[in-house]
Amino acid sequence: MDTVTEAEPPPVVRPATAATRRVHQATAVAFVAAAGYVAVTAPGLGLYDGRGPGAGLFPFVVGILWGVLSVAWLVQITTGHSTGVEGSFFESLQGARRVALLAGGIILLAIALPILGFQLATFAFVAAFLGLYGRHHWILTLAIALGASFGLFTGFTRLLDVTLPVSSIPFLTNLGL
Amino acid sequence: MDAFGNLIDGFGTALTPEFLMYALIGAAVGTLVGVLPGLGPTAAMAILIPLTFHLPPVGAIIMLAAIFYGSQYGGTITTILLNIPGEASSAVTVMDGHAMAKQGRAGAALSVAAVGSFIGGTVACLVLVTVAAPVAKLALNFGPPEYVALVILGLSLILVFAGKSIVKALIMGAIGMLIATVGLDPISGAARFTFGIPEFFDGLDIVPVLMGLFGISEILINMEARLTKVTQAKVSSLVPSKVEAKQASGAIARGTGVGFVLGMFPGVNATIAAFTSYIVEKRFSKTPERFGKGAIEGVAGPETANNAHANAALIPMFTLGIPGSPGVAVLMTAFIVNGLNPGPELFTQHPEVVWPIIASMYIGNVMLLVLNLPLIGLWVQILKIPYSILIGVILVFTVVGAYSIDNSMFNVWVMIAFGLLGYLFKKLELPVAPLVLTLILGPILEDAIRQSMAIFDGDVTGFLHHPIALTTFAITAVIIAFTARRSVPRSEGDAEA
Repeated sequence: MDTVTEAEPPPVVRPATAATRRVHQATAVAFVAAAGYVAVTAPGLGLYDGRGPGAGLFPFVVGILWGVLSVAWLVQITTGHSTGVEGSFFESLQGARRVALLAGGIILLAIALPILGFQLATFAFVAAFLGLYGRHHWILTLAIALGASFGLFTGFTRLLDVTLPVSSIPFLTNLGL
Repeated sequence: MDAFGNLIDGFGTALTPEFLMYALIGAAVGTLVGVLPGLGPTAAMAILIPLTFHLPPVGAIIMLAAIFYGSQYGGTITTILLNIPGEASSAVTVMDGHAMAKQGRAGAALSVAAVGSFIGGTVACLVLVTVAAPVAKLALNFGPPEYVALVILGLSLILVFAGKSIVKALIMGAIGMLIATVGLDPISGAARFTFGIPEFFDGLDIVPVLMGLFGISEILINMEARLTKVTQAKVSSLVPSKVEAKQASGAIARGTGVGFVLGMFPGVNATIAAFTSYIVEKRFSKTPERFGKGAIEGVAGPETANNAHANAALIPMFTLGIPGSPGVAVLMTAFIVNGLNPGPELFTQHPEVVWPIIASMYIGNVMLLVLNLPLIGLWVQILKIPYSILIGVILVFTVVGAYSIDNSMFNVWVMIAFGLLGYLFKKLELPVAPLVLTLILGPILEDAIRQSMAIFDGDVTGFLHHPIALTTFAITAVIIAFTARRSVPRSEGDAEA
């Protein structure tokens, strides 16, 4: 028998925590606010002109619809009639940490790309991800990080003629990074 | 020239080494995507669209289409050997497929599934050739009022995609429509919701939006549910016994019919087709008690049905320009970014594109049969790659893809933003499919309404003089009424939740 990967079994459904309910309510309120903004500003784009509907009519109608539906959803959440409001928002603290780690990592990667260039930024991202999350042997981590950064850069730019970001720091640019 | 003449011409193009290579790459990637739990075909296509910008349009779409239908094949391997449905549409196969594997009949289950998938896919493709061109010809008579009616019919699919809550589905539909309005209005030139950001003037590119909503969000969800290790069954002889072959042949024939018919209805997904086929097989069987314990019909029928469905689902897109599922919507995006508008005019204006793509689907199905039977061992080996390595590499590819759309970081940020939003939507059980549907159909609807109102001099009753539009509105009303009626007990269920 060989071993391979599989997702954990689905967790048992539990009643919604107060925090979970608040996240749903906050989202619904944000939707109402955004819909209100759309409905208020859309008429300024022109609802109707001599040729027919103006640029603002469609967003105005859809904005009102979005607002009404979001209020209905908020009422459903508050009165306990909405689907999907159950258990904790994150299944576990470890799960939340992993999501935060990856989301933060992707954002840092996007910030670093134009500064450090694709090769260095991606190398750092992949090496950190495999080291912290995957906990692989450092030689494997290094090999994959090199392949996913310098290897991919060479493949995409030379073989597929795809342009990728280079560093904005002159010293690094001069090094071909 | 008739449809089959056009198809033969299409084969002439699709059989050139260049396009054969694109079909092979697509079939291999599709199988890989199906094999890997946690990465669906929709996410994979969304991630790979930007990387196809450097390919010829026909080659790019041949490759993406092969990923779409190829993933159905690959999903079977993990379903049978590991008890993990690689794709949702393979979920029903778990019951009998894995039971067969535990009895030492994994090889027979895999070969019957692959042969059934091949037959279902190719027969559906044959009917697609027969049906698509006449339907498209009929749709050529459509003007803006007919398109208004047709797109509203397409938007009524939101109710079908609604899942547990119609309110949530409609909210997501509204959000998709509003995202589609961002940018300069094509008629008046007014800047809509651009907030003075120059990159917003051309509107949001749909590709990074889809990459975020499907690709990044799926990876974040998988990260939260950390992956663990399990055991895998061994592959036995691939040749089924005579009794098994006889039992499977009828199931394959019925699965083809079920999959194709359901595939033509937008909104009915491959999972429904597979489950319907399973129910049909159980009802047809003289020994229904075998089902769930290793009945080969329980593998052959559903696996055939989901592949027949994947091919038939392309008919509404090819002929009417309406995507019936999120996967088809992403494929439709590939057409649009390559300057091709799916719909009736595709057959008349770009026959050099549409027929090679259809022809390549036959070729792709043959390739998938070859890839999936002798190479099963290879795909199983790939499953041993740690998931953390796969995620790391896939993320780098998504960044490269988003950046290469127009060589700017803006689309990378759009992808990240929609990835985080997509994660939030999934956690809140807000369905993404309606958002994607309206994101694509919203601009078409707005243009058609404005053109219609210009034709009618602002008189809405002008629609009453267009019988095709009226008939389409009536069909939409029936769908809405039917769905609303069906949702009544669901709403009561909601109340209890």
